[in-house]
Amino acid sequence: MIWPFGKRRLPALDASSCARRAALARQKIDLRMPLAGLRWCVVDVETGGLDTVRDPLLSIGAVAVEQGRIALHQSFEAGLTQTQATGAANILIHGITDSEQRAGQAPHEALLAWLEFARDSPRVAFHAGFDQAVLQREAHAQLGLSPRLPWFDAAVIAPLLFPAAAPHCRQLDDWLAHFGIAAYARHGALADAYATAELWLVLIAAAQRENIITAHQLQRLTQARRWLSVNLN
Amino acid sequence: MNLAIPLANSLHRATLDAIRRQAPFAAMGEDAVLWLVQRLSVAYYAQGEVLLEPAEQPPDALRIVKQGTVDGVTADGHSVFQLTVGEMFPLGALLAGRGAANRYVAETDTFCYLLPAADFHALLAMSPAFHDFCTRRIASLLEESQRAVQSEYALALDGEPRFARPLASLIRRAPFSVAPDTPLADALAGMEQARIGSVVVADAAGAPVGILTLKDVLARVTLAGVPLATPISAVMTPAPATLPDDAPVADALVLMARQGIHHLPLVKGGALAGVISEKDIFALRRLSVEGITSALSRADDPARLPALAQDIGDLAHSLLAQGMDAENLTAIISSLNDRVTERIIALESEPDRKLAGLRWCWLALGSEGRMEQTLATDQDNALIFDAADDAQHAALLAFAQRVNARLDACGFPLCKGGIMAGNPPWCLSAEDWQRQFAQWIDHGSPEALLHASIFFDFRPLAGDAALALALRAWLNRTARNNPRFLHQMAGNALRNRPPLGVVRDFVLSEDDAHPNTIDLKLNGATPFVDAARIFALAAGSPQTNTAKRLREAAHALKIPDAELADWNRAFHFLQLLRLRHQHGQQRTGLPPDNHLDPDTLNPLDRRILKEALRQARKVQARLAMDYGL
Repeated sequence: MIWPFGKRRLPALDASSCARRAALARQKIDLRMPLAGLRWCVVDVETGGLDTVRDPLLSIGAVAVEQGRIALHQSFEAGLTQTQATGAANILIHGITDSEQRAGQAPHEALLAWLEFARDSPRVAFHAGFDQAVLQREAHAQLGLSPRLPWFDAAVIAPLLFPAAAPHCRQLDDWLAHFGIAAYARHGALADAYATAELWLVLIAAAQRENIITAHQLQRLTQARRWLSVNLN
Repeated sequence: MNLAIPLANSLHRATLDAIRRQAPFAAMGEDAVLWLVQRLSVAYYAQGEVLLEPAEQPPDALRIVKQGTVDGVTADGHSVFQLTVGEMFPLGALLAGRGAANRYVAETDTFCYLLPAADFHALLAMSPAFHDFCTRRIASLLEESQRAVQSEYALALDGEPRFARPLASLIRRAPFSVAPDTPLADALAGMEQARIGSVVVADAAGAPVGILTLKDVLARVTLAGVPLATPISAVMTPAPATLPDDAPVADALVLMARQGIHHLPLVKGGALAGVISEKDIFALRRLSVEGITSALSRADDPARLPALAQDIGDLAHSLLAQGMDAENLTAIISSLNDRVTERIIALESEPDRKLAGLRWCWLALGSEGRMEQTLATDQDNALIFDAADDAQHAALLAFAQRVNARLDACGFPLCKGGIMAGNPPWCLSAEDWQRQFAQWIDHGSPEALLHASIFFDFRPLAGDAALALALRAWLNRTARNNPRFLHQMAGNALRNRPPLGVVRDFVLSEDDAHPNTIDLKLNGATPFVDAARIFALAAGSPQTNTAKRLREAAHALKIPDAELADWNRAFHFLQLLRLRHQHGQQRTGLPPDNHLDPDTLNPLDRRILKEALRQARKVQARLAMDYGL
């Protein structure tokens, strides 16, 4: 579904970008497909801070999981050019330096490429709420698009499937350590997305062992858990 | 859908770096590995999950273990091998285009890279290094290990002043070079005249642009049928590795070891200054086989022999460091030890008047009999004589005991089992030896089989060899006509299984004296030695050397050349590991033994060790098949 009215002025798009944007209007995702049959898009973003409303989006990294496998050629990495560099404090966290921040793609270009990469795929992220908010904010601001697509949060699903490990696993690093998954670089968007994708393979396999066959069932499980935690605590 | 993927993003780069830490990807060009990486997918298998079932159809993909451990399980449910990070499967099935023979099960939670079968075949065609690795798996693993060892030792030699000398000091003659358009005929004639093993091709400014060695000539000119009027630039190795002539000798050693080259052009100010060969560098070493041999033949005082025997150990260490292969090295150690023994025997027998006119022969047994001695070796010998009265017998025994004592002083400890010529049961007439051998063959008790395994590898070392040869001829006839005995020997040999593990890679010793080790001799080399002995006895071959026995047997048993080559490589790798292990112990002042902790090996050598033990199983399987066991 598309939200065609921007509150702010959108960046001017050339004809081919407009055509690409239009092509993203209709997307089909069938959540009744088996977990292993879906194409999942596992994503991570780096931002200039933890404020989903104000802090700038610096880079997007994503990998696709198809037929239960991560295909290395289906990986996505984009840095976004910044009008001004973010503070030094965050450079320490992300390791994205001033010059790198300025070196990326134009934001609307990166967003188009990201949406095309993720087309027709449910999104997966760790602490997905954050990635979802930032990416939807930017899609809206840069392209005037507000696609409503299903998001799955590995941080919510992992404790449901591995309750015994949950008490000592909070962050992505904890779960990676629990399953012995090594991230090749810390706090790079693509590196974290890839590590999350390996975690996602483990979670899909575990879900199937629990007789959770379709993405819809998995979605219902997380919603039920959310309901329980809201209403019982 | 246009995914607009950059050629290599950070994930591809990181995967490339990770995968290149493993053989054979380390040796492959970056382009080929990147091509591979972009075609990989990653799959996860929970513990206990089956990755691949035996099937009729060829497998759809090559698997490379990324993380975790995979068990190979045979059709009858035995877990026979383990694959860990960097290992690939099912290579054989993919190469042969047949279904996988084994079931592969995740031993732990496992991630694997998958390469579609079509891409696997494309990569084989694209990368000679990958092709080599897959088709000559053990051979190429060994080459890599050998190179690593050479570089390691070369670096360890840094402290030695002669390796800090500038390379220019090794140049022995004015450089011989030719222009790129020189016809081969002229260049080769020039090499012949100058008696050199390589010719450098230099441009007008004198800078080396290529090199051609005699070895290259064989493959690229002679066998390729290239006309001698061809310009040398068409067959030379272009852009050869060079070093400045003021670089230290150690640099050349490392470069030669890494690149597997034997000739190195030196440059000064960009122009050719000379060529050095591997021989020039190794000539720096004080010790040589010839030097020790001639010192031994000149030694008239038995008291000097222990020092010379010590030199043999040092020479062996240095040859090991230079990367000599185990087959040659064990043969050199054995033949130098022969010289020591011969010299001791000569010094003890010549002045002994009681031995005058007697026919006798000193027999080398066990590993010395097989010419396979390592650095840890005790005495195994015996004496055979024609006929002797009691007094003469006593004189022979006394002589043999003196030789045993001298050998002990030279660093060959007395045999704990008493298998020595100075021990009365093993100092026998030809007739008594036949009687003894016949009794072992007929009896077939465990003790008899053990004795047979030591004594039947006998070889004449000094004295009248005809006595030993006659005994060998008699033994071969007798053993061949006694299938029951060979059957028992085979059964006995098969009780010693190579220690490949189910739970871990290796089954480690539970013996308190050597915890967490495997016995490279008993469980590694011995299966090959035992099988080779039985093959030789069955074929009536007079050979005692394991590699030679296997080569002869392969011909008779119609074993394919490639399989035979893998057996021998595996056997010699095990021997090399023993030598390296013993070398390390001796350097730190420990008595040498054969108990190796596999965790101390680098990952490459661990994999080769597993592969070598797998080959030991294959040899045993062949033996089992031949004897219906």
